[in-house]
Amino acid sequence: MTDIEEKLTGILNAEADRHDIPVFSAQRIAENAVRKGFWRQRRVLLLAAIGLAGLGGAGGAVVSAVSHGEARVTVTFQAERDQDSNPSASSFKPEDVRTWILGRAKADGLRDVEVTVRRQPLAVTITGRASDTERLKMLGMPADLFFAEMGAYPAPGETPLPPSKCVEKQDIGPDLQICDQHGYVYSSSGSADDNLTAAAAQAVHRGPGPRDWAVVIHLDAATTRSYSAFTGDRAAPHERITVLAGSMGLAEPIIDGRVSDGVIESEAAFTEQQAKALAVDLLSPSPPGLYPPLLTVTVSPARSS
Amino acid sequence: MKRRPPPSVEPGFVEFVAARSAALFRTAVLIVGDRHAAEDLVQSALERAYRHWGRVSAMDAPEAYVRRILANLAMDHFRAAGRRPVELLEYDGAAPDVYPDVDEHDAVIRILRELPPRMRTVLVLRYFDDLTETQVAEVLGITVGTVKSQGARALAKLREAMAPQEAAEQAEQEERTA
Repeated sequence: MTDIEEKLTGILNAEADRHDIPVFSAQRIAENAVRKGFWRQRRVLLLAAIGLAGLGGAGGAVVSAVSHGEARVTVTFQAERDQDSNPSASSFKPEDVRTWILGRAKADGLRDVEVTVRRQPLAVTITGRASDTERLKMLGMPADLFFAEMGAYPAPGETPLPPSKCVEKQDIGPDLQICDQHGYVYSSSGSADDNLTAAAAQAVHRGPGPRDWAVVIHLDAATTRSYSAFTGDRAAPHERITVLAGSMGLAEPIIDGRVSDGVIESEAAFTEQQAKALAVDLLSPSPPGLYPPLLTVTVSPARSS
Repeated sequence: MKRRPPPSVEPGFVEFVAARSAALFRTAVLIVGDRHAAEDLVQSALERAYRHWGRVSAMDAPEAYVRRILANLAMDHFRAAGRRPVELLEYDGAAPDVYPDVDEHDAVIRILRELPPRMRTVLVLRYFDDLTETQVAEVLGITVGTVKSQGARALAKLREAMAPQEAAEQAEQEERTA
């Protein structure tokens, strides 16, 4: 190391020592990660509602109809007070948010769902069947689909991940992950509606059985170039990669050279409902709104009118 | 569609934060020059890592992955903040300046802050985090050649700026030995 390099190393260390180290809470980080993953990007459906006003407070009960014989629950979404938020109330349209949520519920196969969006205090309530509680709570989670080259892991000479690990890690989050057969993982930094021009469910008539539907996605121009570069860089011929959307495997194409048409077809492994729901998730329109304040979610038995 | 339930915090992530967050913060504060921004960047990087913790924890070098996220977030920070040099700020640490030459310390830091963000990041990763050129290239998503040239140009700027001071030190030393 030269003199200047040694000096620089010493100075950098001394400089770093001049700052107190803050305390980072793993619990807090995890909670934020879940919440921000839940509400991430403009595509998150309830972002339009909760991101536009930093309102706090409790309450927000919703009176709902009672379906015949089955218990119902009300899931209430409220914004915590965020003094730094600067909502644009003019772009907040409760009816648009309500329509969007109902569309998602229908695509997910949820029935007897009622939605109320209230401005003051800001609250969104979704009432549905008690048996659908977990799905109602996660109704707003998009299946983000995106990719870009992240870099090869592990480093040369180190043991690569078995390919199965790339697919089986269900808690990888809603990103689109692309893994090659050596387990090297590539992930992206965008959301699905930023990368796709189209997504559609497609029946694949390969034989009898309910799982004969696929999802075909069309990448936009920029993403097509990225995917083309990615596929063109594959070192070995006939290399299989894995494409994931959300926590679900989407496709395992064999790459025999550059793919330039920007079209990825999933495996024919979905039911019609799953395929259509996934297509809707991938192409859900981006609601207006800012990055949200923290959100609270409460679940309570629905009250009858 | 399979949905992901809110997870409990994995013990491995708790350990990782306890063990590595301080080092990540020190890297971040050197890159961005602002304690609060550095804290936000580390927080954001760890949040992103947590969303993929199942995959990250299986890597041989999880910290390398998180450092890469941090570096990318730092670049985003600079793009958002504009290209103005980062100002020296008041220090919050209780630790005194341990570098023997305070003036030289301040001069180098001032030069560091005036460097383009990527060049500054290359220096920090090379000479503070002690990464190889190949490792720096992987973290920043650039070629090794770019790392070499950025590092060489940065060191040349430092050398040029410190040349009058070094000349004065040499003259002083010669006078003492005369």
